[in-house]
Amino acid sequence: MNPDPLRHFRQFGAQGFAPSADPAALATALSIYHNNRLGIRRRAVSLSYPLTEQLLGKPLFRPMLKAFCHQASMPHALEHSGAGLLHWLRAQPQGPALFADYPFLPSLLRWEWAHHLAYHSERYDPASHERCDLWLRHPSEPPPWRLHPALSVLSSRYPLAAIVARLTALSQGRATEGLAIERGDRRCWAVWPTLDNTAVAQLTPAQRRLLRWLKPPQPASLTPELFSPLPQLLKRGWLVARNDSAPVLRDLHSSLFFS
Amino acid sequence: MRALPPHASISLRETHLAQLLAQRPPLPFIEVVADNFLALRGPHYAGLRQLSEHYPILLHCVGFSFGSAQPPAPDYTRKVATMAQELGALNVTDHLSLSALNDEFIHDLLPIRYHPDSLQALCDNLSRVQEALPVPLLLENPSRYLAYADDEMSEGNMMTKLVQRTGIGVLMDINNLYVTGHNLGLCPQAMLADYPQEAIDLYHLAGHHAQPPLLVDSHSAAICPEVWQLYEYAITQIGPRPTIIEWDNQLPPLPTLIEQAQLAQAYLQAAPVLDGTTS
Repeated sequence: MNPDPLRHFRQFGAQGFAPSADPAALATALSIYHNNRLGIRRRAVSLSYPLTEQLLGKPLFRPMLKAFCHQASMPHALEHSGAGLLHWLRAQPQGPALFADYPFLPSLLRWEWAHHLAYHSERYDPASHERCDLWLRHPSEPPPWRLHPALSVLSSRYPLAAIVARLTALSQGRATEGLAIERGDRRCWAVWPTLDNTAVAQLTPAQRRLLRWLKPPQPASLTPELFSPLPQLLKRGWLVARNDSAPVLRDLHSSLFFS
Repeated sequence: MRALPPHASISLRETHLAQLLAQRPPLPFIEVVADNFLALRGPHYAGLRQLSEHYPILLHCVGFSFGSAQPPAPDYTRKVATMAQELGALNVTDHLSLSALNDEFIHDLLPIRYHPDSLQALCDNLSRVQEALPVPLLLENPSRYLAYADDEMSEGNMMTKLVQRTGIGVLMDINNLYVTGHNLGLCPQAMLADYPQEAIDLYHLAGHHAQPPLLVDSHSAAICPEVWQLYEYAITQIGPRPTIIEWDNQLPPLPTLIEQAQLAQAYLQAAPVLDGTTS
């Protein structure tokens, strides 16, 4: 965890905190500031993973959250507080047992984080069709697009959409039965922000191939077949203009991953 | 600033957004915590834009960190200014405190030194933000849990100097005044007397809880009788001003918040008419 910012202040002496008649007051004050920050962070992580909390239950999830917030570093943007939860869980002694009990948990955590990123993503200027066309005819560095920083791609052998629907129903009191989960064929989804919402769709193999190509474009391997899904990708806003400098945290957001 | 009527309303929490949009209770204006909508897109921001078609919006912030040695983050200022423009907000408010240290954002409102040496940096930061915003900036008194041994000015004197030098307005949080007074052994009424009362444009009210020997500004409960009394006193001394009820933790149903606003409204309506004040 980051150092307590109040340690930046001189706590004693002429420029320190004013002494109080009650010796307990200073310690209480420091603990209030500390708990304020920790509480805000726990709340932010909790809001990122509501379905995981529903799945594991508060008695298991809350202590896990507390330990994570205590150990992980504090990001600049509060909404990124839950970014490393899956990675952190894997490194915990109890991680293997947890993932044995809930083998689809890594996929669920990725799904929730992808939606959280899309929900909180900033606005980006869309990539221009004309500039993309021009680049495709005369490739040069760099291309006029980049993948939307809040576009996430995830794959799983578990029926993630059904798991999410059931957990959502349970959390809203619309269902009482638990989950019956079986592995199946691997499927791949894209999660991305739209102007007024978030969206999710299964990826076709052609879309997936094109996304892989677009990330580090290699003009030599360009084929018309490879680029056939491009209009749909542009329409969905998966490509944004490279010259957009507004988002400060775009590096933190590069969340395009395949699992 | 477009003159707001001295009425009482609520600070929106996202949990209540859909209900507010569906029911549209008669409220004179609504405060919004800008930091929760900085994406400037998405379903929550779309809802907020709809809300702004029905209610005047006041933007409340926690991220300018006016007490920092560094200027407020330009990206943050730009986003708040854009939001103010897009929602037609009437003002922007933030605290006399510190929430960034050495470029690290703290997500808390830490106390600053009330010392003449702090004034110039504060004025620079306030002026920079005021220039960037399309609407007036109001500065709020924070809750303090500790003071510094070398504090040389009262909170009210600090605010007076800042108002004189920058022309900003003041958001007087009555609960913060009460909590700070209790925690630092000060009389809230005497603290209030030090403030530039003519610059107070808005009141905040909220609940707190006890963590002996201190009080915690937790926004987790109904407003207590002592804070209502202090509110009544402030109205008597300063005059009725637009008032916002804040509630963050253990958030109650929307009607409970609106009931608190109606209570505040009753105090405003019962206020005596002061010279130069319309109630």
